[in-house]
Amino acid sequence: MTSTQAQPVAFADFVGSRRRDLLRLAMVLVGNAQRAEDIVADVLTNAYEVWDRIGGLDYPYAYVRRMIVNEYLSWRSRLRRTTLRGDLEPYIGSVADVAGEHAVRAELISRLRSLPRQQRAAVALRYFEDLPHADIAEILGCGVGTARSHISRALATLRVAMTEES
Amino acid sequence: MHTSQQLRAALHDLADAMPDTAELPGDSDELLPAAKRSPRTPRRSFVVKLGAPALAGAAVVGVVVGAVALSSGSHRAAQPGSSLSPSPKATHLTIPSWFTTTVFDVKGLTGATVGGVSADADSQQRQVSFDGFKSDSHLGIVRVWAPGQWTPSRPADAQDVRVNGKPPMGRREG
Repeated sequence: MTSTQAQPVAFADFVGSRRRDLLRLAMVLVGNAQRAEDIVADVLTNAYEVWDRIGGLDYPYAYVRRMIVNEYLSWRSRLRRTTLRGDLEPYIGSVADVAGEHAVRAELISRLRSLPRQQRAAVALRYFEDLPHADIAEILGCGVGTARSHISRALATLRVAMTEES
Repeated sequence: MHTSQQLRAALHDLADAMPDTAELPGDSDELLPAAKRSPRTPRRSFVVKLGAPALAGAAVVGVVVGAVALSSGSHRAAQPGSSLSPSPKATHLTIPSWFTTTVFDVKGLTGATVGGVSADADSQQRQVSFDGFKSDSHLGIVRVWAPGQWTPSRPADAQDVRVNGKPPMGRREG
């Protein structure tokens, strides 16, 4: 938290405008709606306690988004939310029978289950949040090279071809 | 091999599967999203809307949290502030009946007293009123612990919800 803005964002306004975005990111990370809600609720609770600082940032969403990822990666989350396998089944089933593009997406979602958390977080930040590698590295607390490595290995597992943007 | 565009689409498909619970209901006294959940699946966290009906459009939100804070060994309840103005109206939230065995800590509701629990035996919901609720923003955090998960780090000013005049199941008075 380095910069401040003249007009702090109210907590209620932030929740009203960005909670859906946070839920969607959490859903991509955990693949389970209830766990996604758990993560977001936990993070919003923690954020509320220090909202005087977060609300004054230029981009509070970036900070809270990082909290979401950290919560997902945290040891506490691992204890409570380790059953990734099977989480995605309801969503896979809804599209797996559809031919073509939907089948491909279903396969990709299915393969997400096998990714280690760091790799899955990196993929979510890169391909869902569209963040550059430097930002991903900062969020994950690693070097840019390591972030690239996470993404590269994840793409190999997902059988996604490496491209220039990857 | 797949393309990165297909991966993006897949991730957005997954995100789209997230139920839209961001929309708070029009009534002021609801706990979300209880209706979606199995009564046999105790929920650890909720988003709750607190506030008088006149404030319903203000996206008033609080968060109910379970034993998470306790596992860290420190109490991290919200501190809405010490210079709060009294709310002109009491506020209350509605909890599902299967949640009556939990303990509510109203730490985040400055000056709150908990009571007014009433519902018939067949009701699917219980209503808990927070009389004397004070807040400058009508934000509140209510922490919920599953039965048996309460720890000694419970804050001194926490108050138990009383169900039909009795403490919640599994809890001793005092």
